[in-house]
Amino acid sequence: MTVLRVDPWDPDYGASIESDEDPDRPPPPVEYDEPGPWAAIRPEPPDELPRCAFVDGVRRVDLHMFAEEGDVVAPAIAGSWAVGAAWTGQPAQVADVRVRRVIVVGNGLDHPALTVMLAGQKLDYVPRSAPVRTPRDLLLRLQSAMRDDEASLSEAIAERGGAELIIQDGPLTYTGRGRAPAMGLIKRQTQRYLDPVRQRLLGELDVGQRTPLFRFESRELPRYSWYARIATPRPIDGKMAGLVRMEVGSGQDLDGARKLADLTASTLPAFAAPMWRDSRSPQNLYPVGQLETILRNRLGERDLIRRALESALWTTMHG
Amino acid sequence: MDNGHDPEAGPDGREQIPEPARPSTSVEASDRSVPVGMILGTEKSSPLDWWVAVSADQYLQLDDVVLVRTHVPSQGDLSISGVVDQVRAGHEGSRFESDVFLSSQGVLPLPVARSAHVVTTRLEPELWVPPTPGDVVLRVRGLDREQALHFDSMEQRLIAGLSRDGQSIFIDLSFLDGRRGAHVNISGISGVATKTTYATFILYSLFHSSVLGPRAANTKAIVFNVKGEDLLYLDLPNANLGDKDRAKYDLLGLPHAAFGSVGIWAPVRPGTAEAIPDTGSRQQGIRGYFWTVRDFVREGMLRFMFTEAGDERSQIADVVSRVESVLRREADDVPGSPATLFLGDGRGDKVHVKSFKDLCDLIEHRIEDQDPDLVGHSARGTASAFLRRLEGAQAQCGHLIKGSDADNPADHRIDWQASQVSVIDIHNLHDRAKRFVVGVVVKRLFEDKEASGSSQPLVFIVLDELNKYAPREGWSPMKEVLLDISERGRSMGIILIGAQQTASEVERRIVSNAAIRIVGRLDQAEAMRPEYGFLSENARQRAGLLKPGTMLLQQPHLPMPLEVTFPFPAWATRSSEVHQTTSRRSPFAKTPA
Repeated sequence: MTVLRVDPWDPDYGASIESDEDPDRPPPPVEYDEPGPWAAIRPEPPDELPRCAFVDGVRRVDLHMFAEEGDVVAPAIAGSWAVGAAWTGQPAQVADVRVRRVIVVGNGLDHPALTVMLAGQKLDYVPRSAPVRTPRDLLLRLQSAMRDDEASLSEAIAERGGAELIIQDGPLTYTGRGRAPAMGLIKRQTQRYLDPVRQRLLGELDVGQRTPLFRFESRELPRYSWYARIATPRPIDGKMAGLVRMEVGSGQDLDGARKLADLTASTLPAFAAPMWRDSRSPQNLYPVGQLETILRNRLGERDLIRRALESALWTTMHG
Repeated sequence: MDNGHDPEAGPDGREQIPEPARPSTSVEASDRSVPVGMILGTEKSSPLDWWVAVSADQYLQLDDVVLVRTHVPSQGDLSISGVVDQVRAGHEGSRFESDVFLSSQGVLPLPVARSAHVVTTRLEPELWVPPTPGDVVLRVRGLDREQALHFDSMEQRLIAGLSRDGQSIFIDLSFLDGRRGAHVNISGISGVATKTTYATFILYSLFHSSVLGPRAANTKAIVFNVKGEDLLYLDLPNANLGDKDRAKYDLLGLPHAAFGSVGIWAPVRPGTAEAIPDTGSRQQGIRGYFWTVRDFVREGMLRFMFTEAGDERSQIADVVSRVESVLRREADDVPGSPATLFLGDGRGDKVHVKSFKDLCDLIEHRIEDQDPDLVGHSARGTASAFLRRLEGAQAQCGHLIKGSDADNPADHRIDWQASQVSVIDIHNLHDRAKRFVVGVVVKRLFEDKEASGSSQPLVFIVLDELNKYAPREGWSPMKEVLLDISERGRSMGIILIGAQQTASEVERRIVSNAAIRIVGRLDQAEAMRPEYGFLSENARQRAGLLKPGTMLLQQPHLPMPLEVTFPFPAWATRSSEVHQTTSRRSPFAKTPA
């Protein structure tokens, strides 16, 4: 008989397991390198929580525009993003915040930089040209620019040292060449990697447990990955509630990757917010939720920026 | 007993006035004005009050004096000064109470924000413009602080005590001496509010600083000692005064000594022919006081024995004033007997009235005889009510009126001109007698001043338990005199320093006529009453927590009360504090004097 189970995320954020793509599209070729049976692993938690840097970003379209040149009309956006790191341990704090603003113009059209004055401060919108035709693709450009910035922040933190774990939001785009390897934390499961038999283990994982490692390549970056349960679902929640997928570049040797997998599987539950706290609880971890709040604040008030942008466009028209 | 100090702690059962909390900054640092934060933008600023975000490495506490300079377009710079009346701290971006645990475990990064609310005290120049977010706020010292609190514009300033951070606080003398205002009113719970002690500290500051200038010599004070014997030692230094206390007097620029010129008067002991002062712990240096039958009749003192407000008060008051005027009209002096009188017996004969009892008997007989001069058209019931009260008065205040047994009456008549401070003890007397003494003394003073026609020299009257003498409800001759002082005393040079536990029980006009209002520890429910409207919401809460030796002082210049602490009394307030070297009783004497 069919049973109904809850996906705890706020519907405004979509489902925690969601893909625009076909859910049955074939997974990439996956290798199972970790010795032992395919069964849940419960690592011993460390005595103290590690000092972690959670790296994340937020982005926003400030204004949709049209880029017009002769008969050509292309979509354009003015967008902003902010990236930063939430440090856990003592003191817990948000640091390394940077804010960037861009104009992305479609159809390969060019536009010079736009400087906007707001409350006596200059906001510089850096131009980027993109050979795309839809506003959605422009948004993906903005998104990937933010992701690049997150990666470069992770890299900077790794090189600077001080973090035992660097956990980046979303799939890994950076290998971690510094002293500490960066890991990716994937909140939303959009792609199936495991064969149906191994997939069954996901529903059986307890809090603090992880699957054995598996290895695959994505975007030309070979990586180790594993699933871990960071919060106990309620009986009415679905099997996938409270599950995250982690990955780390396979530049790490297998032993190194296992240690990181063990450390995250045993410590991440400490950072998981209860279901009622956040729209994307528990996968949106405490430090990440707070970081996003602060980053959104740093983007500035959208209505004010929109007016400032419009006023700048008036100026260029008459100016 | 209300010596003003908590009777619980201390070696002799007294709580020492606590040290003001001082931050552990160096002297040099605390003498400079320092930037402590900025006007914040999440709360709106107004010209009258504003919020400051406090820098991470700085602090602001209640009562700190701050200054912000803001730029006003086309007008230039504006300096806005104020006093901190609220400080708060919290996590920014925290949504749940339990977030604090996560933050301290290092799981949830939450910034701490500290802010302070400031009430404007002064704008220079007077442009009613709010400060702007981002303007730098300084905690000020020296001249900036004096300007903020308007101390710089006080021509003559009376030392009122120390602020929490050890700076001087002043009262504008022109609001005390009648030029622009007069009278002080002090409220607070007995025992912890230190009302009387603070009132005497104000007197000490008046008489032992240079604020009065040449006027000091002729300025007088009459202090009624209503409870305990605390005020009977004003002329003796306090042996328990420590070095820290002396340092506070030094800081204030006041000497640490006893009052210089003090006369202490106590009622004569009942039942003895000799005029021995009726006091317990101290008798040396105290003069017994009484009045004579002649004074009583000539000066119309009878009314002050009828000071209870009652239903039939108007009828009784009518009889009282008839009796007073008939007696005065008929009285003839007795040659060779300055304390007694010849009075008519109502049947055409004169009799020699030799004692207060004789006088009461004479009045009684004439009233029982329905003497029309005395009873007028009063009902029989009124006349008997009058007689009942006269009988009571005779029992309770009779010993204060002497006749032919009066020994040297001129020496025992209270002479408040003889010393700078005259302490009149009434604490052992029955309530009726207390009102009688206060009424007679104050009335006499009032008449003297009225006759002199000049407001100089000033006379200060210190009277605790105002609720007994001028209760909110009802009428009495006592209340009338006090109301007269509060309304006309300013122009006549009579300044009332009144105190009571609860201002809500005292005649409204007496409280509202006081230019300087002070509260010590208040009961929380009392603090919420409209009589304390000059206290902000915060100040009302604080009034419930004030320690002995700490008061909230409101004066007309400033929109909010200032917290003021004052040093432990330099004069003794009980026998155990009397300095042994100056004690009249030698510690080596075998038998007590």
